[in-house]
Amino acid sequence: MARIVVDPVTRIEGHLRVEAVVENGVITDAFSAGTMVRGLEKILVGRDPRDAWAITERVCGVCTTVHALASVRSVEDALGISVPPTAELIRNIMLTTQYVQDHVVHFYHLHALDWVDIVNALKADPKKAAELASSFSKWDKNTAAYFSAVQDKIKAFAASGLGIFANGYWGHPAYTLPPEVNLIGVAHYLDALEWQKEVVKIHAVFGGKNPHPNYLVGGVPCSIDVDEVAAINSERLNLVARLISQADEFVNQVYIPDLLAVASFYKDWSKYGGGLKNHLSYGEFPTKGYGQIDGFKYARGAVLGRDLSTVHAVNPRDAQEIKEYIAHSWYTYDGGNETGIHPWAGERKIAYSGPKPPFETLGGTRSIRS
Amino acid sequence: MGCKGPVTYNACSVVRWNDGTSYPIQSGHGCIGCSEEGFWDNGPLYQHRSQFPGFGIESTADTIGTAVGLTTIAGVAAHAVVTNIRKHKVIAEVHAEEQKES
Repeated sequence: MARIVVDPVTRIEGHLRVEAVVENGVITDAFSAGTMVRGLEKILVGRDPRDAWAITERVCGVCTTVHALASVRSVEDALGISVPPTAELIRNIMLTTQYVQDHVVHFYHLHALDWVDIVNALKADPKKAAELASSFSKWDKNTAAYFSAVQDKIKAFAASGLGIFANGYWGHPAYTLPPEVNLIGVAHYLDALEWQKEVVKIHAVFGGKNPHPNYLVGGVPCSIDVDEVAAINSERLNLVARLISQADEFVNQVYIPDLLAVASFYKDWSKYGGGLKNHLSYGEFPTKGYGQIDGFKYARGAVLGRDLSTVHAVNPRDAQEIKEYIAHSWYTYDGGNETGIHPWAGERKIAYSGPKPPFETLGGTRSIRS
Repeated sequence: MGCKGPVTYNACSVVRWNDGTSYPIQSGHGCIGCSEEGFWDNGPLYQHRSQFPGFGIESTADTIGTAVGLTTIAGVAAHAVVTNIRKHKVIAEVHAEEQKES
């Protein structure tokens, strides 16, 4: 029996540790743990509520912006502030930007290399790759010359030792994509890397920068005047419009076709996982203010036990409907760790018993490769 | 409005963010001084603060502005001046350390 520890798990944001017990080459048990405590709730205590967004936002640099938005909404809700309609639109544009960029980054840069074999792409026929890609997308880079150039790039990269990808499981039999799909995947991995740094310029226009654009309790900080040099003017809005069109094209001609193409080769993986089979959505993209859920573009509701026939109404203010459980978190409740309480109860007692610095080995082996 | 730009040592306004697209002040928000050490504890973001810990010289900026009865713009200019003085000091210190190391 061997105990394998992978810590930290890479290609995620944050810190994750996975342990697996292996007997006769088969995993018989596995454990995962987030080993960090951020303690942001503690950090916010005693501060000016107008500042909370800036600190909350810094919980993550990949899903940047969303935590700031949640924070300003909370403060506005507590103080009874409603934001102007234009501010609501700008926030929706910023959130949508994040929503779209994050999906693409998650698929290509955090996820795809579990499915796409970089080294196997060298065996692909660029002409066939171009024909295949053209069959499911109208992307103007679906040419043999383009895929051939990407293949040359991979060839040089492989010859130099594959850089940060040297530790991958290239050639493992669990990779089941044909060489041409692998080549398409690698090509678009690189394209997505370029595209994602373009689309976040929308955050820079309205919020000054990405990661961590600026938010403001009560509205947005930017002023719009199409003719004013120092404001969000027509040049800035044209830039935003162009970036939105590019995003539309990239998502519909590259990301979604790739996602479906890759998934079609890994259908048997759908039997793994599944979680708690429940799904809760607070709803999103308000059009009549955050207090008016009938104006949300994405509805609020909950699905329980994977029963898609019924969407249950949710009232986040009801202490009986929303409960937070901490039995598997680095917290403790005065009333017992098995109980659940509404987040508004404000109980945040940290009880950390995870690895302590210096994190040299975290109690396990650093690599699972033997 | 509490802009920390005058007392923040960075090149945001010159280099700008995301391939030179913008930076916080250009987008309309004050600078929160996020590159300063321990910026989260340098006072509320929307409150004017002329002094960061460790740089006593800035404390004079407001005093000068108020005493002479200058306008806000002149006050900002005064800030810029003392910030530059502070930067000279920091640059001198870095140079001195580099020389020590080499």
